[in-house]
Amino acid sequence: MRELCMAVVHLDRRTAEVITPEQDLVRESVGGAALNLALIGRYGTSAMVFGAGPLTGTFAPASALLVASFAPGVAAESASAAAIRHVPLLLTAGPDFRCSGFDHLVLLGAAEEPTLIHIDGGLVRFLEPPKQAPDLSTLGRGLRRSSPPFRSAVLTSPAADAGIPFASVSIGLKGSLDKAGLTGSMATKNLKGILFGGSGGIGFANQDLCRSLEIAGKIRPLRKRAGGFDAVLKAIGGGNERKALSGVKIQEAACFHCPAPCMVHARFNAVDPRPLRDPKKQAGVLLMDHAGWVSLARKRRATALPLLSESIRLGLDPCVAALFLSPAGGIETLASDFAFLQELAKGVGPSPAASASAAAADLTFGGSPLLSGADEEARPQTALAFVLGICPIFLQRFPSVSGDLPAFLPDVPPASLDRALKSVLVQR
Amino acid sequence: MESANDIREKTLGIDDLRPRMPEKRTLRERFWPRRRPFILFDPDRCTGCGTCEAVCATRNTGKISPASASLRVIRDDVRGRNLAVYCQHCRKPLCVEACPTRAITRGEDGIVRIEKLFCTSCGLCTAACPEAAPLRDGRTSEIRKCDLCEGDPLCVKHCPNGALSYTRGKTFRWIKGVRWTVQLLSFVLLVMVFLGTFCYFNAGSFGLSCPTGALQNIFATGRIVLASLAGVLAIFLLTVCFSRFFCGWICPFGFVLDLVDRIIPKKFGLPAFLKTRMAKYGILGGAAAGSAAFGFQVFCTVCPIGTLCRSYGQQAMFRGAEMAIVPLLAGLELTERRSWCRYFCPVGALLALFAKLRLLKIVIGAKKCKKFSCVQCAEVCPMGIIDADQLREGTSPVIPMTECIGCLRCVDRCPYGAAKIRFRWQKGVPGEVTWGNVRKMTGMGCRETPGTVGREVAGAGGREVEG
Repeated sequence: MRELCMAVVHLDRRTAEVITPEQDLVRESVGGAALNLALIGRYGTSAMVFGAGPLTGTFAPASALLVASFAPGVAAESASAAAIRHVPLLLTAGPDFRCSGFDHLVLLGAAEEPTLIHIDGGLVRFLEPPKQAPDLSTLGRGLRRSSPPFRSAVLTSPAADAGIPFASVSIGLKGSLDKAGLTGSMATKNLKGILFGGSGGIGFANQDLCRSLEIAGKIRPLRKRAGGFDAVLKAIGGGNERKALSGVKIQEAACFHCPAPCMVHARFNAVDPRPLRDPKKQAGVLLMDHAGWVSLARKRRATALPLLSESIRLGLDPCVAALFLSPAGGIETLASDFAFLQELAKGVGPSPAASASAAAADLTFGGSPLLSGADEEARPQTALAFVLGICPIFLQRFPSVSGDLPAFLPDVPPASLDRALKSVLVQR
Repeated sequence: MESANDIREKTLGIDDLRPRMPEKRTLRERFWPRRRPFILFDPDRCTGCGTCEAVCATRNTGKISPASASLRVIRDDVRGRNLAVYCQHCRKPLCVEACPTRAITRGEDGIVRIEKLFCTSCGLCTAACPEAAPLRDGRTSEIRKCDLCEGDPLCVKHCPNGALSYTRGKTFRWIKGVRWTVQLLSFVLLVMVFLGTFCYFNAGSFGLSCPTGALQNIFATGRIVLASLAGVLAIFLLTVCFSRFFCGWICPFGFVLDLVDRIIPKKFGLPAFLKTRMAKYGILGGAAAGSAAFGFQVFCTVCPIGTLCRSYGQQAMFRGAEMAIVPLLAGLELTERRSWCRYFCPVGALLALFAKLRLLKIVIGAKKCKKFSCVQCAEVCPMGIIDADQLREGTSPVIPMTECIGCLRCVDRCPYGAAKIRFRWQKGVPGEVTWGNVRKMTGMGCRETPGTVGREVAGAGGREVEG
């Protein structure tokens, strides 16, 4: 089995130790969410673990996943509060995390002051976050100015600082699929974010490149029907909401090494969401959270894009934001909708009880309806993705690929993989 | 005792190791330029998955390490459009000139390479390159630059969406071939077959006549010769449809100037007071006024186009002193390309007035345009109306179509397909990538000193994680 590198960070003492997990533990748990569970079992339920799978950042298709596992605290109450929750962090977070020199990061305790963690080259640094950052874009700008160079970042949203239970963590400034309260849990640890330097490298086998090409070739004829943005929207019952994007300039976007992009980046007018041609007033938003987009488009077809952008900027879960918006509205109520979202992010507005009822019942896989709302047959695929570090949406859309993945892991016995999958599936 | 100069002379210097490449192009290169292989990037297809960075890094370091790749994908959070920064293997690479140790060379195959043995990682090449394409390795601080994987780029092979494609360079430019053929045919027809047809001195023998000659005739005689109007109308319609197509494709003197341009180098500059494009309108006005005053077509006596058209045949071949005007004006090519057409030609001035009603325009700067590094369109434009500085600043230049002779050299030469012909009412270019934006996105010019209190706590000795 490969040798892993793990950092155990004591936030309260501002110290960290770099250790190598025992081979037995790695053999038993393989990696990803399963090893995260084992580490939470070792360090206690107050620990929060970020873990990459053995395929994260490799030439396996869509190998972008970084899993954050935690036991929900007070900030994220729901029916399944007792279970460990795994939040998928996509885009390039996983590969950059591994390129920073670590496979797992265990966060213990809570910092006394707001803290940022920067990891790179197998080193952990504690930084002070920029002050006066009312939203994520201001925070991002401050980080670019004042922090050491980094390639990816997992940022706690300002809404989480206000104790909002329906806040979402953000990967860079692009939002995430977090609906399980990861950002709230980070906020209780006084952790403002984790920056991944990503200057290192990940080893690979020579045949991996050829296998990657073969899989991409197999997927190519299927991707229009099964893997695109429209297909994912249809899968969650949002096919009609696709019309809200008519006339909007969109560009396909993908996570690391994904041969079937399921996200789009939409450009819209920042002042008036109707598609106007003035490039100076253009704004853009990545439609990564399909469910969030569908919820907002159902409520506000004309202004869904700016509202989604504002939700991400403030760190709100777009699904919940859509739930709390008044039933009627449009372009004329955009300003008041913005004001409402800003109040929501400050903690002025609906009660946490209402949000708890709004949250999905099963938060094991981050709470996104795309993953948690999947049928029982699709759950093993999702669990496999969370253990190996593959994008779960990709594996749900192309289940046939799961048969090709063991070839990338010659040193992992099938029995170990089965045990790891069971541990993730059963813990519910 | 040996002096420092003696020692320097005896020591093998960098000049002996790496002699500079000759700057002058050979005659063969002038007519049949070497291929320029490069990678073509289509931003519409790029999803920002980073596969190109990953596979590139495997060749550089043997590991999946995007920070060590020779190309970088910059993801634009606002527009969602991605920008790939990589070496364009320019014909005249500025990095080669900037490198103090001459570690960068352009090979016979057109690939610009860094010789690791000589590179000191000073970064001057990055500063000199308009694309900032030589990239500093995030881990080892070495300078890395795309070498096209010696003709088989991995990034192109593995790009899942076909956003990258590899081209060995155009071998034959069909517009160029067609234009030279049309120019040659026009020359033969106007000068040797239909003798004197175009020149207004022979008006009446054949309908196609020079519009400037017709204008002068009107002023000289006060009468309109209807037979000549057919020719004027034909040229007018041609100009309205295709702008100053006549100047670029038909004019026999233009053909001579293009030939001369191929042969003689540009040695001198025109005085500043002569370099005004309004001068030709003044000459046109002067010709009309002179014709009215003297009662004959004044300019036609010295018109180089007319002189050529009247110069062939039993009775007209090389009329001695009159023909001197052709080499005299062709000598202006020692200063700038088509100097006569740019600044002085009254025929062009009249056509420029017609061209205000043109239907077509040329647009440069589509998404694929590599404005910062390429500027080949500006280099090949014989009329000098494409502003290279604007391109280097990242903006799409506005082309004054009244000055454009419609030769389509820019369209033909553009390796990225970014120069296009459009109707004048069609939209120009899409949103532009400005140099300022790129500087922000790449972090160039930003201070990277940590302003916060950082504390290194524990380390794994910088070792990398094995997959």
